[in-house]
Amino acid sequence: MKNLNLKAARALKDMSQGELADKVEVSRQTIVAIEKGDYNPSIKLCIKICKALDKTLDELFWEDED
Amino acid sequence: MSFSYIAGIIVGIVFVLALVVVFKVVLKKNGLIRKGIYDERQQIEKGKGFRLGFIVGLVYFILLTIVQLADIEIDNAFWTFVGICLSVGSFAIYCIIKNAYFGYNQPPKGINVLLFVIMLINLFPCIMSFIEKEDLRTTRINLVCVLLLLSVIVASLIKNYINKKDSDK
Repeated sequence: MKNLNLKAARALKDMSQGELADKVEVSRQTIVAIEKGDYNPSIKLCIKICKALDKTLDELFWEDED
Repeated sequence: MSFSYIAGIIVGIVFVLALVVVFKVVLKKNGLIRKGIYDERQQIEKGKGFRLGFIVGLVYFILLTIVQLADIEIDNAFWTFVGICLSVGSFAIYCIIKNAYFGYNQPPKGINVLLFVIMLINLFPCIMSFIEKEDLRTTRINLVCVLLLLSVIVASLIKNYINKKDSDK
């Protein structure tokens, strides 16, 4: 499932995928895979991403049960 | 196999290894080669790549065993080497497709240059054999190395091009 929250949060910070990847010390393709929903990051990586984007875990990674 | 033939092979291997080491040192000094650091997704994909390489190797050597059991005369050393190259090649190309061959801190250029140099070193005896109209069977192992390295380099270049095209602005 695509992670649109992450993409939106990144856009809010005017950050490219490459810039976010550098900040959290992963490859750009890993950020691409997370946003596409092709990869579920570990909790450690989730926390790093949240800190980089000034968001909480719930805001970025909670799946809404519709 | 005469002593001079074996000595020639050993000297050749040592010479090529020395050349590659020198080249690697030069590339490291220019910052084109770094020790790769792999993120968690890349490590998972590398693991899957190792598994694929193992399975390809396993299937190949089972088939090779069947051929040998059927008493079909083949050059076992050469075809064993082909199996190893197929296994390694499967791993490398899978990892390239999944963006897990190079660490996230590694520029692909340096490693591609090194692979290209090794490919040329292996291509040289093949070309010499062809020019001197010698039996190409003497250099077929070099040819297999050339094919393996060429496929890895081409896959890497294509993937690099696709990644650049897809990069988020």
